[in-house]
Amino acid sequence: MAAEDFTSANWNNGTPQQDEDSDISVIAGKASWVEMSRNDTAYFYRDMDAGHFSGDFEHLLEVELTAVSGNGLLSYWTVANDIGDRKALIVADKDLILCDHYQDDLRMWEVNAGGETIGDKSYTLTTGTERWLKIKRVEGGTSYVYCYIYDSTARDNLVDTITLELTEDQNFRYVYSIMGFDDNFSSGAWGSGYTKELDLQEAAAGRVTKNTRAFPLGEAHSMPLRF
Amino acid sequence: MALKYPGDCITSADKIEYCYRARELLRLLHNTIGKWRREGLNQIEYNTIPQKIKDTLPDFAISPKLSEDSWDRFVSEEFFNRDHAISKAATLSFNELKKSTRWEIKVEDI
Repeated sequence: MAAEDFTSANWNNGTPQQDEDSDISVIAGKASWVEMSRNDTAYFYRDMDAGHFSGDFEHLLEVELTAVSGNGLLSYWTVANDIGDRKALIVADKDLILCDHYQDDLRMWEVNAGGETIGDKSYTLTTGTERWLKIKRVEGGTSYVYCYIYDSTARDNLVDTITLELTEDQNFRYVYSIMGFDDNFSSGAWGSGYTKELDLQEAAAGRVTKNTRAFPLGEAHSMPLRF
Repeated sequence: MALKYPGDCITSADKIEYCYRARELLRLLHNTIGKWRREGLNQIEYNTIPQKIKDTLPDFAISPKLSEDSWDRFVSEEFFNRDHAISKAATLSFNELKKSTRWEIKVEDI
């Protein structure tokens, strides 16, 4: 598995599709933004083709909140079925799952046909401190998205977990490495930070190769799980 | 896998408390196993790992470092399945508590 190359053709050759105030800068493994207003029209995505993110998946990424002002609010990671900033997608009754920061709180959200559901808790980020995330969706019966938060790239020291209960199983087409809110609400609200080393954990052909399905404990497993 | 509560864990508030403490203990276990993988454990740390968990790891006998295979197995099966079970149970109680009428709450005063 390899991190996404944000300068590749898959990512519009490193050019954010929208960047109202030219706050976003992109290098191969990192998309960063400086003092991006909450009200900006800004997003940077990869089109994975219709229905690509189906079933279980597990994405890895590194995030940092470098600085924040007022009610700064931006998304580090989003999967969605349409193109736009967050407010536009909400108003248009679109579907997405996202990981954002509001002020210095890291949060998980589901937007389902305009209705919004937040995770069970938020995690307080320390400005200037990296955090490594594992975002894992598990479908079946009631479906969940977990955001596991670690303090190193090894992801063997878990700091906290945010749980998001999903209201509906959805397939998604687009993955975003930055998405602005653009609700024209708070003046002086901005954030600086980055999304780095986004790993969709898929083979080059684009198929999900990592089995993230949970098996009930105590049941015989017909195959060993070795990832 | 379903979480089993003790007999005196009855109310939704009790169950939420149980779940969050269970999740914290699971996190601490995860990090002990993670340290074993990263740098190894001393005997005291090793002794904190429940035997039931040790028995699931092929190289459970104390060794300088846990193998990657054992680490991957621990995360994907022992850790995640328990974490998932706790989350499902906590969500049920959480959703029940949302309906609570115990407190007269004026959202405008929050």
